[in-house]
Amino acid sequence: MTLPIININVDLPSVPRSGHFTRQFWQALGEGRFLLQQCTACTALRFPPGSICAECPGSETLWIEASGRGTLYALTTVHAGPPALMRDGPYTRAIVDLDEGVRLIAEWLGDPETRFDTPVELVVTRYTNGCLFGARSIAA
Amino acid sequence: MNAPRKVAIVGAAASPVGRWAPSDQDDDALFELDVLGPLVIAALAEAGLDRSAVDTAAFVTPSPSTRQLGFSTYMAARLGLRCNGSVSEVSALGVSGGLAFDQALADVALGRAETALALGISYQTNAPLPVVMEHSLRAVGDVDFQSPFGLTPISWYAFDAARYMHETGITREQIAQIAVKSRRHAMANELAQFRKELTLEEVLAQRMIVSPLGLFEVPSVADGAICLVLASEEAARASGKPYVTVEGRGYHHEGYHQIGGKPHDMTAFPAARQAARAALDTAGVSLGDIDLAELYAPCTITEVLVSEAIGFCERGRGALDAIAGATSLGGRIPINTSGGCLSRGHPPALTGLYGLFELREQLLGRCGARQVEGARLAMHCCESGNYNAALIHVLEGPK
Repeated sequence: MTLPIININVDLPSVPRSGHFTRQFWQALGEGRFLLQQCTACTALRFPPGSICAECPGSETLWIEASGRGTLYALTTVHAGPPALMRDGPYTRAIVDLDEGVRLIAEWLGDPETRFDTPVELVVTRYTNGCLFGARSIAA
Repeated sequence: MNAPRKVAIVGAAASPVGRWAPSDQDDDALFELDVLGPLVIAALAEAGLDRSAVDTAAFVTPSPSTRQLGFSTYMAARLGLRCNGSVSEVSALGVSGGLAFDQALADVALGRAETALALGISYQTNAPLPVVMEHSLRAVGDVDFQSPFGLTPISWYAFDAARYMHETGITREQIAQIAVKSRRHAMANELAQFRKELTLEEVLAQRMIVSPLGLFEVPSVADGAICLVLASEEAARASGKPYVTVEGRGYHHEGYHQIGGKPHDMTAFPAARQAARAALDTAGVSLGDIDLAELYAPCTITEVLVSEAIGFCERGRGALDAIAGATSLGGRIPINTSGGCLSRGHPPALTGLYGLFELREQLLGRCGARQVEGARLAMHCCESGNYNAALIHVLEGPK
């Protein structure tokens, strides 16, 4: 499933590095796909991606594409953050639990008072110099 | 190798927590040695010792704004130490102070050192805020997958607060009572950064920092310097001076950094629960035997959650117990009689040592207006991340 891509016409103050084990993730994200690594030995999902499995000695992985659906675990709005990020005022971040069983941080696109444990979808936030990911509410 | 020996804290000295780091423009500035050196001499003097006795110096790694690098070996030389145990710098975010204490403790217990120092100096207020922010973002998140989102260290506790309020129905106003209690305790602590009485209305009137936490529900920046002196209990007894002993120790890292990669109960703080269990077991006591505790809690919500995780309060009752006075001076289990991170102040890497300092003062009966009557057994806890790791010590006062 391709994620909605939201263009944000400013630079990201801190651009994530892309490396041997992460470049596929960032490339796919730019195309609207959210990839998770899966250990071929123990089937554990790994996020962020990397060279080894924390659960078993296995070293082989598959890339699987996440559904982009999940649940909102918590929100906070940062009113005192680094100046470069505060240029447009306070910003809200989410902890999202993907349906696949992965927890991650995402930008929050929506009401900062949204009720927790409600369904969300991931979106790609495409800045002028790189991509991050966000989340927003969807109907149950 | 000899069997481990029981270890005592035999001396201590600390600077008040506050804003006193020197600026580059001040030609009357006191540099690291100038602040730490007199504290080391005072702490040793209290134990009837001098610098020739010191075999181990476990320094907390200084903050990034400290100009001097190679800090431990440099400072050992400037302090005039000649060590047969070890000279080291230790750090692991908020657990750093506790780890320096642990290193000194281990060297004495194993017979590597007769006298060991756990010490440090931390400057936080002399660095530009954007630099401090950028550095802290990289410390409390994956630098590629979390730091770019701009989550400051306290934002993770803000998530905790929001989630806890959602799950329990406890309100921000109820949790904020921890800030009022902390200030009431700090008013009688001459080392505390903030000592003016604070009301709940004042706490709630401050500007928001990381919702749902406002300015007085999160820690301020602070500088600190402190030295604890450890020796074997045998040597402590022979000295004829008052001392406290280390009876128990427990540590656990839960395997997550901040939120980790898998769904779990973020507000349960299992590392604190497990470390407390291990510390109580090694001390051979139960939680009900503990008379007071210093718990590393940068934000109001953190004290609520760690009080519950260790078992001082039932799940969902941490804030309510604080409101009822159970965790205040005179209550069932006084927590953070120093004023804690919110009012005693929070030089993050040294907070663990300041907590141990407070417990020693309490167990020696020196705390005046904030003395816990009959204090005999005390628990100290420090942590790193979002309580992903916890280090707990149980101390006992004079028999």
